[in-house]
Amino acid sequence: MDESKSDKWKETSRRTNSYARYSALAFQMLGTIVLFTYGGYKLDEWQQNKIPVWTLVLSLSSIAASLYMFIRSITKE
Amino acid sequence: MALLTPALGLIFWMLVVFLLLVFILRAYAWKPIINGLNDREKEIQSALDLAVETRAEMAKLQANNEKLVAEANAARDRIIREAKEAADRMIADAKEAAATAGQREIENARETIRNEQQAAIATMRKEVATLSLQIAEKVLHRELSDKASQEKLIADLAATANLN
Amino acid sequence: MSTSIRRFLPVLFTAICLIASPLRSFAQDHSADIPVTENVDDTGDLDEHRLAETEEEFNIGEMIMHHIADSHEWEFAHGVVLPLPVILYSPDRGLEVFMSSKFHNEGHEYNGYHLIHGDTEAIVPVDESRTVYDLSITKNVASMILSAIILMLIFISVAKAYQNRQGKAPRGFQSAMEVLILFIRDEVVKPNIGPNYQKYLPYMLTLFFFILVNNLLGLLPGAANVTGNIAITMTLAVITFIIVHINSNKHYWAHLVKPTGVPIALLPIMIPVEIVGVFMKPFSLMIRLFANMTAGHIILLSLFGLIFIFKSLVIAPVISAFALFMNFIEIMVAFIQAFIFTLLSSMYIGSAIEDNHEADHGH
Repeated sequence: MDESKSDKWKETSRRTNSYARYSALAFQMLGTIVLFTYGGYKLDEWQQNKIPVWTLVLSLSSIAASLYMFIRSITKE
Repeated sequence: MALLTPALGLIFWMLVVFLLLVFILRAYAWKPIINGLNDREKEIQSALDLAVETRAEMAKLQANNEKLVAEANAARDRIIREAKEAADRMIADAKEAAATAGQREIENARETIRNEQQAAIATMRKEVATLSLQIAEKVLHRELSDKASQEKLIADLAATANLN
Repeated sequence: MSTSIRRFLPVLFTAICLIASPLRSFAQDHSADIPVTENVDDTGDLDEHRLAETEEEFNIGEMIMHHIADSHEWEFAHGVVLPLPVILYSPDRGLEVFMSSKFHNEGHEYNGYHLIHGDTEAIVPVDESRTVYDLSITKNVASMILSAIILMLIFISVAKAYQNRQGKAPRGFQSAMEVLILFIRDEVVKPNIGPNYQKYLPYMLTLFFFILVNNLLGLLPGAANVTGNIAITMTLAVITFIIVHINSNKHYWAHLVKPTGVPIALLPIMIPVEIVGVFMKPFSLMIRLFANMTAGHIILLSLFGLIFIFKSLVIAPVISAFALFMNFIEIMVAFIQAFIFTLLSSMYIGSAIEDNHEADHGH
């Protein structure tokens, strides 16, 4: 009985563990995209571009890069 | 957005309080607690090791005991067997000795009997011869004193001799 | 059955976070709209107006903001107020210390300062050109000091118990704490930091119990929302960040400049992403704890606020029951968030000090 209890405890902690890891990944992805897009937006504002080139390039490339990182980090296990 | 703007004073106090807390707890709480835990774990581990060791020793002892018992049993069996063999042998020897002694006794007895017999026979023969001689002497003595009977005897003898 | 519930819980927490942000903006809208439109003509006596307003019309947004924000005084219940020391530093006047009760209301001026009850409370000098640093013992600071004292009392007494009962089985409170300490050591710190975990264990333990105690204290009625304050979570995240970068080895830095297993063509974009990632990790630590605790408080306060909005005896027990349920969930969240903050901090440290970085990317 004691053993099954500790097993359950371990199981819960493992679940929370993976929840924590994936939420950290999601945060990182989100933050990267937001930061890059904001940087692009500011660059466009500074250069007074008609077409928001930097916003587009940086947001799309940051999405691609963070997706690449995400896939790499979940497949490395 | 005021919620998302960190207040300077709060950061300052947080740093002061939290760092102080880390250092105070590290010195006065975590160190003794972790040392206590480690010590206890070590103690438990050593107790467990000791138990395992003791169990192994017990098993060894038991095995030893069993070996001893088996050895004792074997020795007992051997001694009994040897004793029995010795007894048997002694009995057999005694029987044999008794038998040979009896045989010899019987032989001796036979010898004696035979010797006695022979002696008896010899003496008897001698007696009978003497007796016969005496009788013959006596008869001769008597016969010769009586002429008639002498003649008769001679006649008898002559008669039988004639027949031959 | 229970597995599905457990699987559901993280989803629920995320949902709470998501629900919380529209609620907060809703709350802010209200606090921004109604008082402003009504207070245009008499900004002079806001505090009295506020008082009158709470009696006339209950403003849920303002109530929530008032409860989750920091304050220069500690209001345990309506009207029961503990004044706290105000400490100000200005280059021209030096250090100034006085009690917050010196400010009677919004319009009242003391020593050349106003106490403004806006979105958050602030002490502003009457002379706008002066720069003043507010180092007051606010409600959050007081609550934090209280929690520090509680932690010291608990753990120094537990430590004494270890010294007095050396080698014996733990007893009572000591064994309750031991479960948590062992859990942090064996399930969180040891597997994530690796063989050199001993060095970081005191910090991790302090981190976990500090967050836990503050989370739990925050759930008490009238208490401060310490871990739901961005300044607190930011300081914690920054301390973790500094510890990581003081102790990080060359593999960590090498990985930053040249991530293993990444094609050369992708490097120009991956290196900035990795560098952003370095700052995103503490940032996510900061936001996660802040958002979870603040969201929990907002939900609880909204539920209680509903009672006052409906002003109905029928709805009160239903909402109370639901609030009770939410409170239980918040207690769980208090543990889980303390655990997650510690776990992610130790994973973060572990990734910076591990010897062979190649093993991490076992292709």
